[in-house]
Amino acid sequence: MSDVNVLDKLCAGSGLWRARELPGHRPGSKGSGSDGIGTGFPALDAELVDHGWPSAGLTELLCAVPGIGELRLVSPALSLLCTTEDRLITWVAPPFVPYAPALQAAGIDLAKVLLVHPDSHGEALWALEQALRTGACCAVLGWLSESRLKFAELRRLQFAARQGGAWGSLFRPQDALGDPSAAELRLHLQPRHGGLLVDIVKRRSGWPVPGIELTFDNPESGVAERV
Amino acid sequence: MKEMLWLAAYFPLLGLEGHLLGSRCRTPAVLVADNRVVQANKEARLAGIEIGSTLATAHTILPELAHFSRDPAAEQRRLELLGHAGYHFTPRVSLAPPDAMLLEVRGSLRLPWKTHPLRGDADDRKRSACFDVPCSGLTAIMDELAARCRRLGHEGSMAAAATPLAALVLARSAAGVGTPRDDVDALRHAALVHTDLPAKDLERLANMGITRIGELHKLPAWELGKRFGPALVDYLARLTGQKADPREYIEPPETFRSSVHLLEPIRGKGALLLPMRRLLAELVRWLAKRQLGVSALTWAVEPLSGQPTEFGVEFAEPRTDDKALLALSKLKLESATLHEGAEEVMSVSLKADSTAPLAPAAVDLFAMSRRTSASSAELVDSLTAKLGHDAVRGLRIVDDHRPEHAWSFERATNLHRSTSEPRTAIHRPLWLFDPPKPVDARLFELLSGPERIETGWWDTAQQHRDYYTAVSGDGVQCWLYRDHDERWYLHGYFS
Repeated sequence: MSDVNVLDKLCAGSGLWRARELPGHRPGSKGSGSDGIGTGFPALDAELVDHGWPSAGLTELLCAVPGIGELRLVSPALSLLCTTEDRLITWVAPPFVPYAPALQAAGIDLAKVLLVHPDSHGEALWALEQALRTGACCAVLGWLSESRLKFAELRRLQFAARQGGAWGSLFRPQDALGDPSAAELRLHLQPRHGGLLVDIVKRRSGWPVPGIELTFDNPESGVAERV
Repeated sequence: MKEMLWLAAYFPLLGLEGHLLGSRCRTPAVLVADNRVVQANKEARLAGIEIGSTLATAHTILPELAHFSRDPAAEQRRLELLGHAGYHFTPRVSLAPPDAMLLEVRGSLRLPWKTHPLRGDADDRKRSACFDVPCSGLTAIMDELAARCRRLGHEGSMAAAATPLAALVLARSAAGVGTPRDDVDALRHAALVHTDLPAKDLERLANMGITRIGELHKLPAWELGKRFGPALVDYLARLTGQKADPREYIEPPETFRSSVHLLEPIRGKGALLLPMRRLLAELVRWLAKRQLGVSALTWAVEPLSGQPTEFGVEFAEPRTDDKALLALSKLKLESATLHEGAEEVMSVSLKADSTAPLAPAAVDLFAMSRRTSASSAELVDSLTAKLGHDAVRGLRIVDDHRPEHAWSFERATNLHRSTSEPRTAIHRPLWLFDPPKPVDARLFELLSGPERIETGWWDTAQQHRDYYTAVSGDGVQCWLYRDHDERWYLHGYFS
């Protein structure tokens, strides 16, 4: 039996895939008909496999310091989801108060925002998994206690996000850069004047991409320009 | 229509008894309103305390006197409770606030109520003659009603008459006297103070030498109308039955309550699921028959000895499926702590605290929105069942210029119901610090500002602030403010 046949068999029978067969990278499709959630930043969209955030999967945003612009990075996508989806946007254990007037100004429908403040790491994990798995949320934003987070837990969350068709974003400190993770997409965020410097640390079907410069359209108002 | 027979029950000490519930010893006690004694129990009256005396006087007479202040809302609740006790005898129960209720018992007299063994037949015969009713029915109802009220902690005096007002007057005049006298003569001799006439009219009538209903009734109606106005004539007409006096009947809320009593004690929370499932199946059948959904449940787990453990489960939307009800109850059970001695459970009971009619399924073109809201309600329910109400909330805008008052939490059950229209872009951070954090302004580079916010003079949280956008050493865009005393605070990250 030739080696090629063995490879074909493997591909057909198991969960293996070829990078070039991925959605959005299919030969012939120009990559526009993807199912990602547009990030609102063309420079970032161009590097992502679905041309946007994964609509069913876990994303990790590793921030140098909290508050450098991680919310302004995700808010155009959340605003887009509010217009296309009727599902909830759930925040699990946010470190500060998501400020309602600013959220609304960013185009996020407050009627779809659910805040969960669990008491412990275990409860937070449970709440995250519930929110991702049930399919009641289109996006789930989570902040977990870093010292107790295990690889198996991340895998569970990634699986739950797949199952429930939810975009899960986990906000983590940059110390976690070296840790293994089951998330489909990992971004490292660093502050730049009026914007962010984003390194893609891990993505499906591609090598890491360092140094994508993003500028917030209107840094004064904290509102990314909406389409 | 057949003539009605009204049974009035009057509770002269309703408010005071409401405060004394559960206390076994009979201490002198009074109810106070506006610093004056309005109700006094037997022990207090025996000691010489009079209605209308000031609290100070009462305390001088009896230093150990217990006193409570009047709570009309609580009295109304007690009266409603008594009304529901009266519902046992007839569906026509009407409350006569603040301290009496009326039962229309004509239709209930023939029912086989158990009679009091000590009561002679003489009373019965006398009553049957008066009201043309078969023997024993009325007495039995009165005895049983009095016993039920006593179990609730209230002593009432009762009387029956052909009109509601007459029954009330007789019940009031019988208060404290003992056996109610309920013939027409009694009504004629009843003092006017027991009627509902205003004090002003009573005083004028007393000055004319008229103190009893019979004397008033003898006077020509049109003369009375001329002197006292139509209200008095109307009252007399309703009292004597010349004019109809329709009453509003109470409607008891429909509740579901059921229990499973076990022959053998069961151990552990896991074993409780079996009886819980059985009760829920029963509840679901009950709900289906009435086209209702349940929005709050209470479980009670009773051990062999010791206190029962109760825990409630609430739902964002009325529910009907027993699997989801069980799953949520299970979450709540896991976080509940059973009382001492609850290892051996003997009975489990379930009560539906609040039910709501099921909304007809709203189906839109793509059958999308209903499914979505159903599953988000499920998520909210399971999160609240495990984490509690305070941990699962929504957000809402409040119309206030002060930044920290411009938002508030919203009950998670109101999600999807509120609609917010996007506002014009404002210069506000996405992360807010609550409360603001005092900082050293030298560590920040100011970018723009100031935006002066000076408001709140109408309440205590007055503000006088200059807000700046600034960048910290880490490159984080911050929202800072300087207050009246030149102190700097970090109020948010633009993030």
